Amino acid sequence: MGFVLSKLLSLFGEREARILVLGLDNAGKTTILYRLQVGEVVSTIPTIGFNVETVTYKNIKFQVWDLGGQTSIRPYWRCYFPNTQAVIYVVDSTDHERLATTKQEFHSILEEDELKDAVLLVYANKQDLPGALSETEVAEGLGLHTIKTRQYAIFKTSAIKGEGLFEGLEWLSGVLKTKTW
Amino acid sequence: MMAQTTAAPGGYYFSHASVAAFTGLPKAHSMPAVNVNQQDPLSPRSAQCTEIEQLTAEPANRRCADCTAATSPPWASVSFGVFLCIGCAGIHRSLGVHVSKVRSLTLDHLTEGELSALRRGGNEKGNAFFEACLPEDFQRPVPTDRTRLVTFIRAKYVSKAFVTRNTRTLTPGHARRSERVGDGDNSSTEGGSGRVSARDAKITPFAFSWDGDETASSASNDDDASATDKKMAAPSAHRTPQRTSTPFAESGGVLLTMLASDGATLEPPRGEPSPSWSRGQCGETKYPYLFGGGAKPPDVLFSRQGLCGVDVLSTLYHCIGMEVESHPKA
Repeated sequence: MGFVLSKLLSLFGEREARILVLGLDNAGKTTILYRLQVGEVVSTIPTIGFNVETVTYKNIKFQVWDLGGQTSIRPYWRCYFPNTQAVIYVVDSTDHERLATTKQEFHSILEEDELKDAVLLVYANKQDLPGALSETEVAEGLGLHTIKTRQYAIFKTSAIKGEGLFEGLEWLSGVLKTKTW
Repeated sequence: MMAQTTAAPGGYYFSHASVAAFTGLPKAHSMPAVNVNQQDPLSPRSAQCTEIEQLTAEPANRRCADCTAATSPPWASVSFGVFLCIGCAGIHRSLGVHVSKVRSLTLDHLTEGELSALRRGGNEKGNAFFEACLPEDFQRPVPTDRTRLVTFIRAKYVSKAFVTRNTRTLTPGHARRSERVGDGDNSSTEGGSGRVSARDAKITPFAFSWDGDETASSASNDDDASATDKKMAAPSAHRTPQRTSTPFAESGGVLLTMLASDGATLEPPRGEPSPSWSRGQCGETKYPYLFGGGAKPPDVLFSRQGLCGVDVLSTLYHCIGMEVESHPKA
């Protein structure tokens, strides 16, 4: 009986999910976070530490953690890995030079045991800028095709224009509704 | 959009001493053993750190290059070689990496090319170049006036509204004397006949071109003065076969070639009228309509890529505190 009730609650009640927003510095993580939360473009400064906000979408209450992306801060991302249901990995599609770096960071995240069950959503951000790589090129750059054991998706986004963000969240909520945690 | 907002804390900040003391983290999230080359990633990085300390100790670098209010700026644009406060760094980041690449001097490990850019640049040289034509009565935006600061920074670095035109070419001889860093604009070294004054040489430390814009056409005629000007004013993807790969190329879209400070002679490209070149038209002389004069503004001031005169003028008017409506009709 209790099991059935909890199942029904999970189907119709509001669920909570813990989401990490990761990526290199200046990928647009903070802008995305506040675009999702307040629906506006906010002027940001580099994140030294983290921002956390709650975004409710499709009956899921996302607790979204935006972590700073500077070189020396990245090792501390792992402090936030436990109990994470999904990772939103943000890539600056115009930063061609650091595509290899972001790939390296991305794959080091994939190898983390604490994130082995986390769903992956990749945002190929800054599509509004000239010279932005397409989502296909970003997917190739990140080596997404090598991921075999988990669910992932990549969306091209522009946090400034507000494009693609909620499409990604739509996919994420759909996947998370099929999972239990 | 179905996003609902919920009250949540704002930003949380790391301190070097106690990263583990984050508030709001569950117990399970207490500081794990982070193994980054067996050292604290936030610790000073020996040689590079020492050099950065030396660079930031220079008087001009002790204040933010843009707002000049903040002291000990811990950020830098490696594209322009200037030191910035965190607020101005945020604005530079918003320009995109094709314009300005921002690095933290305390939280990022700089590549040799990035460090080289800072070594060869600096706020004094950078502002001497990018603010060469700044009106004398210009009131610099205060850090709290972010809107005006954004406008100013865009005008300064994107439109290059305050750059004198005399910086755009180098004589071959000068190029040889100067230390070339990066894949420079080799096409701009064809000589001419005019010379600029020592003052102009002093305030124009950079000859630079853009790199990486794929939309630029192949303005590659080395003898074409206008093409050279355009290269200065607008991004250009034209990569000359002679380009050399150097660490500087890692550091960014803008390529700076430092001029030697030995009083070397700058010469205009062929076809450029010597008098106007040598006199250093800028500010009120160059664009009188910006400062209350009535001359008709040209259609295109600074760029061949859509930065039309009106846009730039609006920017400038905003920067110098004038209403756009006062702009003389073309």
